[in-house]
Amino acid sequence: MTENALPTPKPIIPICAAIHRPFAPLSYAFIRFCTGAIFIPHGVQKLSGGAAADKFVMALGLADPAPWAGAMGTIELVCGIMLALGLLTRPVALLLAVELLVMIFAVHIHNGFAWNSGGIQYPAMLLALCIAALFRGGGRYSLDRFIGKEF
Amino acid sequence: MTAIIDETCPSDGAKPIIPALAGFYRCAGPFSYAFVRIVTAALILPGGIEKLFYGGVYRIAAGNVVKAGFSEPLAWAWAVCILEFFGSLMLAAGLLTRPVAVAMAVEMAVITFRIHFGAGFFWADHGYEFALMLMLMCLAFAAGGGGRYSLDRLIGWEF
Repeated sequence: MTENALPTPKPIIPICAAIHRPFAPLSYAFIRFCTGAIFIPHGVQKLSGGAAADKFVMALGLADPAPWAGAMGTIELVCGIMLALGLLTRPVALLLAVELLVMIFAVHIHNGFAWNSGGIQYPAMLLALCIAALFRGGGRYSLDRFIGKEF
Repeated sequence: MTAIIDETCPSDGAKPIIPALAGFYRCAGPFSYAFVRIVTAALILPGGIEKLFYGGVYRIAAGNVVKAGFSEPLAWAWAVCILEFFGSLMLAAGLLTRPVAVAMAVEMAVITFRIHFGAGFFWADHGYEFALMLMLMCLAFAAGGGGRYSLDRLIGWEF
């Protein structure tokens, strides 16, 4: 499989290439880092405030939501940090994707599309980002690459 | 001139612990960046459709644009409307990816800091995290450009 079917486009404004050179290689790592980092406050929220802190966990309608909130909070905090650092990128992305799928089909899908009514818009985005990390792995700037082995 | 490392076209990888998965990674990996770009655009597009075809442009001109503190709210509302509709189509196709991504990042920054910031972080309370995430992704596209699967790459020129 050829890695470059087409060459990188030429910059219309040549000076722009000087700006692209340091930033373009960081693009994927930035996506992966932001995806992981955005889960961290949710993990902290569930672990410190319990199930009642997250109305979407309450919307699951569980008889005893506390242990579930604890498990989800732990997944979000630990996997969020690991995804941000690119450590075991694919397994943690898979775990977060499964959690998001459960939340989307158990809660958000009943609220429609728009994020500000609790719909699937935002969790679908996070799911897509986790799937992207599952496809791509850690990438160039990740602990997986530093270690030299990855799932 | 040294070539720009294109992270959207992964050519090197860490050794997979499960070797059987290497083929899947080699096939799926290159689509990752385009997938993020297309999904991000697809999630912004319904907002553009609502503003352009369902009167949303007048709704935001009377609401959020004023709340964000802009004078000439109708002009800014149209700018937002056009950016969200045509901009998200261009972002999905990877056409003029960087200029569109920069414009959208600015829009999302305004939405984050001028509209939702007061409601806190969490989206359950109408906080800013979704707008922030869209802003960060647009910044990533501004850095990375169209990538391997984009009209920019097909055309051979980009900003």
